[in-house]
Amino acid sequence: MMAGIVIVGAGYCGVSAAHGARAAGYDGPITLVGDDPEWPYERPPLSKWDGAMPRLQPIFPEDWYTQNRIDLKWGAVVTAIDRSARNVTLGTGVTLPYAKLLLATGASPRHLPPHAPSDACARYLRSHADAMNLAQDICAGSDVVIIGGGFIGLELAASLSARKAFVHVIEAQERILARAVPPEISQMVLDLHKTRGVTVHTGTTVDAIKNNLVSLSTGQTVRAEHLIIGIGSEPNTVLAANAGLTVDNGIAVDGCFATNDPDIFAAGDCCSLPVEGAGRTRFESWQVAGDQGYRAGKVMAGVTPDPTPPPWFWSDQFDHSLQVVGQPSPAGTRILRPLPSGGLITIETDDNGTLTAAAGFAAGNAVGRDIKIIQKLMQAGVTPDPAALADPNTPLKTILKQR
Amino acid sequence: MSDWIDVCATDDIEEEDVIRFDHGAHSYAIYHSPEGEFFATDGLCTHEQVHLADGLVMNHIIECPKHNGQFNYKTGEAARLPACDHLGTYPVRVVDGRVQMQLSE
Repeated sequence: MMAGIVIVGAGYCGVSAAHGARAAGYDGPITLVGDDPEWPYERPPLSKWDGAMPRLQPIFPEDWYTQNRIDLKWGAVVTAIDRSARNVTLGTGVTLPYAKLLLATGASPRHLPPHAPSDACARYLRSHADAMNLAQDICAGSDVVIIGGGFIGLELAASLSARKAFVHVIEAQERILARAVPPEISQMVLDLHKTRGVTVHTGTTVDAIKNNLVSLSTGQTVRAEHLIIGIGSEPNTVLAANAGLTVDNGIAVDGCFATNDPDIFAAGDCCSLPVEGAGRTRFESWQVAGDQGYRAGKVMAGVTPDPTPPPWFWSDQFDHSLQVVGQPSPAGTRILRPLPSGGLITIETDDNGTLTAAAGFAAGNAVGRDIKIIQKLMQAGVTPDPAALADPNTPLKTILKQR
Repeated sequence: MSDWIDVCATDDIEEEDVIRFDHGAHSYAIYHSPEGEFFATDGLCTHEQVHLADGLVMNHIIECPKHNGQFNYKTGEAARLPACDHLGTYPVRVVDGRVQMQLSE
């Protein structure tokens, strides 16, 4: 068999890499190996249940893989990389030769530390199977405690509370989504959850979990028939580390996704990129995973990809949506743009007035258009008049057209 | 051949913009191109059933407000992931300053 591109991980990143390689004109064999027992699917719907159950949404229809000659081995595990022989070994003992190898191994939920009170009944969410287990076991009237007021925790809180479960969210920071959005947006999300019946405890940690009771640092005790942990994720780096690849807050890659082995690449949640002033950084989001995978696919096909757009992210909670572009910093200068619908967009600029990040939250899809225009304004490096940005009657598209 | 349906006045849609138009049980998106032409497609994104009229029109591309899938609204062609299924398109004409669209039988 001719050695071609082998991709380890058939999530959105790995599938996008296969897509990117074909889009760049690569004609050789592409093998995509994924350990999930399901056909490659989208992860975002796993925490956002707009119906009674989480949806299983394929990334591509089955015939896409045939048409693009992608040899998909799903439900298969890669156990080792032999860099000198240039092959990978599958759990079945079969070896696959590669010319270029992409590690798109993703991340796993961060567990409670071992010294923490028993997490025997703790649940985590990463796979479709995890989501189905939650949906099957938690029903109307269930008492649920979610540790972690990040996106996974809050999206699940919204999904479960819509099913009439009683949900408590425990967040150690003084506000929810503290790493991801500015305080004004955190407050709006908090208000929405409170209005819809979710109890959110901020600045609170867990002292003990015993007999389905969670003791909080505030002295309060809440009942947890079901305990869900959403405290972030850890990159899946064991395969890379065992092969002697450099791991530093994720599989270390350069701007073209190459590891310290020029024939091995890594992209998505499992990798870290050098960021000036911030060290090696992981960008964990659906859009970044897809974008990095697509670019890495192009690189492996020998094509230099376009410059990376600013990272973009979305979340759905109840009937509201949140979008973020760039990386908001709580210390940055913020322009507030209230939306006629009652939503809000916050726009950050640097000292020169160049846009650096934005976040928006509103009912329905009212923030999508403005966030996309801001992303284009960021890429164009323009310095719009702050008063115009703050004025909801000045369409942002006008600013984009004027430049 | 089915009848032409009245949608809106030509100046109800700004150039390089889109509006939502509901008719019967269906929702459509009606576009005014930068060249001054009008087009009609299905109103919901083929990826996750979001109204495209809330999205951004740049040139001949409509970008879904939710997950940034893109379509060429003149042809209905899906132009960027996560959109992979094309949008249906419909004939449009302008009569006496009114935009009209024709539904397939």
